[in-house]
Amino acid sequence: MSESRLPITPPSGTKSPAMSPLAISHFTLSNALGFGKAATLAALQERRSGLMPCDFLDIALDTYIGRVANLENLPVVDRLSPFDCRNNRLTQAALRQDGFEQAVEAAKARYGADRVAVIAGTSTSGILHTELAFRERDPANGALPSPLHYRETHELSSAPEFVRQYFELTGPVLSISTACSSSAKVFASGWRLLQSGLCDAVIVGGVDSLCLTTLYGFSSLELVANEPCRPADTHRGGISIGEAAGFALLERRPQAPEAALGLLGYGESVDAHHMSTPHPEGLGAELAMQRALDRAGLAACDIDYINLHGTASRTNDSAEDKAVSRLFGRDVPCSSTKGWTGHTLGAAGITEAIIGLLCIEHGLIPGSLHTRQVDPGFTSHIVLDNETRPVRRVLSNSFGFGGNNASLIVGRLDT
Amino acid sequence: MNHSTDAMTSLKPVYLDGIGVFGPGIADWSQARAVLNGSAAFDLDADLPPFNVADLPGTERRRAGKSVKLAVDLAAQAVHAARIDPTQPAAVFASTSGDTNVLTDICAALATDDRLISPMRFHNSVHNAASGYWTIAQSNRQPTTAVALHNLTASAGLLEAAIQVVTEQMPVLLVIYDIPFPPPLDAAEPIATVFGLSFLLRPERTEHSVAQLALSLTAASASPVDTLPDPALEALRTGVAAARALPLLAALAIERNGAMDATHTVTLDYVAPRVLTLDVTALTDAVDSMRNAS
Repeated sequence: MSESRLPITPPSGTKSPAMSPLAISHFTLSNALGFGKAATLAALQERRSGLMPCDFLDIALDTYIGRVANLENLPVVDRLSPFDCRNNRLTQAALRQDGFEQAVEAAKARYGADRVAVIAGTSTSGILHTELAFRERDPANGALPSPLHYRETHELSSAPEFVRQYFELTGPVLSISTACSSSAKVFASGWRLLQSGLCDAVIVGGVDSLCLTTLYGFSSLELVANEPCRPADTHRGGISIGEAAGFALLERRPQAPEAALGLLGYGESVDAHHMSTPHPEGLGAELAMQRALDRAGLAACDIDYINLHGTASRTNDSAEDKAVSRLFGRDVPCSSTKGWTGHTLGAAGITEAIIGLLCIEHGLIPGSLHTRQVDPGFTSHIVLDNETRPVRRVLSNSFGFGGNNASLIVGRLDT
Repeated sequence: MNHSTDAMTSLKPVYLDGIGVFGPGIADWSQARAVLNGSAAFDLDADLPPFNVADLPGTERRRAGKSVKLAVDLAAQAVHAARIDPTQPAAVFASTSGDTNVLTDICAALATDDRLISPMRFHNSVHNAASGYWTIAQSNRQPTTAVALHNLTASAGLLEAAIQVVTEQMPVLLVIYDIPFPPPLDAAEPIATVFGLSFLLRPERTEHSVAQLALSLTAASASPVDTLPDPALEALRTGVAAARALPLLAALAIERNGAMDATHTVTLDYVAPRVLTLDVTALTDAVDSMRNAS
């Protein structure tokens, strides 16, 4: 593996330099489809959505959500009880799937607790905990219940700090919060951190849980659909909000070279256009995808499947289609998997990168769920039915408010 | 097993080309320098200067909240001081809780019967709001991130920015900023005042470089975290996450008046049991030495 690593070349013009790929030596995800990889894979193969009519708390919105079952009964471990909140329950439940804990313990033994870093992305962290506390304000003086444990539950580094303490690590820690691109960007920061030499393994992750802020906030923007979301459909009516957590272990070299998967490229950009509406021609999106291809040293035709950001909002899907079409024409199959999981916001980046890895492992291209008729204005190759065929490399898009874009390329490592 | 004795814990040095500071009675780096080298007094309760948001277009200026105005003021200071084309640098925006006013307003509104929140308030609530407004104002499409690490946010921002400079070989704007929570969240999460700083960092020395910074992660037992002798400045350092970088600003302030090319080591807090150390080498005669070298 080390022999095949590409040299880091200085940037020429705006072209991103080719990068050495990283091994993604272990990964796991949990979302409305269930806990662990097998649950998501089975739902993708069976074309079974996790979206249900909104039954979260007392929220009376006419919409569908992707809720993770049973978090109410899964408190965090006693020694970390100040961290207990929906967001960290989801974090802990996800960490406990697919042997991920054992993989982290092995990395810790291999490299040392100070050589394993944690970088996690989120948009709203555990804001639900604070939202609910505001319902319990003292009627006399307006005070919140005390102790609130704001730092442990709601501050943006709540989840990565929970992960760090869960595994008793002392390496670098960071929270990235760039709205819906957050947990795609963790892969870029993870690559750089390993490249810098300051650590030997990085747990990258993303977690976002249901809360009133995003449900009512996206409703205020009239971006929420009243049916399960229909990405790229002529009659798409907006997003379905979901919750999810996903984690991956990045290392310089694979532990199991014969089946090695890795991060081949990443591209980051901003639109510099509008706070909550993407650039109509998808200029920033195109830049992110192009930078990812450049870093991976790949051409458009080397990509076997594109997992779209595909939120099913009118503007996102249209802008993304234009950007994808300019770079990939009609040749590369594309779909959104948000019809299965909902839009998991700050967890979408890693959720969909891991779905890309599952597609590679199992030779699957998932057709866009709930999409009945592709928007006739679209020119990219939107796939509606599942296809079974070899998949070596997947590009995954994540775009967020503030015009913040990230594209990842995951694939088989040449060993 | 001997895993980490020979592992790398230091980054290649980066160059500091522009500095911005904002806080009580402090509108820019020259005013901060006067306070930090003792030639002016610091008062934690002094009035805040008006935000300079000349770089924001009118529409964005009307939409921006307080933390965005603070971050944009700081970003502009560093970029203008470094005399760099503002479309060029990538950016790292670091803040523990971002726009604390917007977060409080939203949580309060969601506890009412109608639960109505304004669309603008919602999009202003994202942690990358400041980076969004800044990049729109500058037509900058470079990679931009927004990060947090509670009381260690300043060190985490410095590390992320320096790593980007070293590994991507491109200029990076770093803005570290915090504003206090209003009631009732101020009791749960006290932030003493409005404070922020900004750096324009580069991979190579330029004629505008004022210092070289070499970052390392070091055992806390070997290197205690720097404090500030002035009680008011020390209250600022411990009272605002962004101000945990004050010892670095203090070193830069003193070096500028003192010996040339002397290296001073600054220690900031980081994830226990380690600290972040920065070897700061002043490049005070930047223009002259460049001239002599050529």
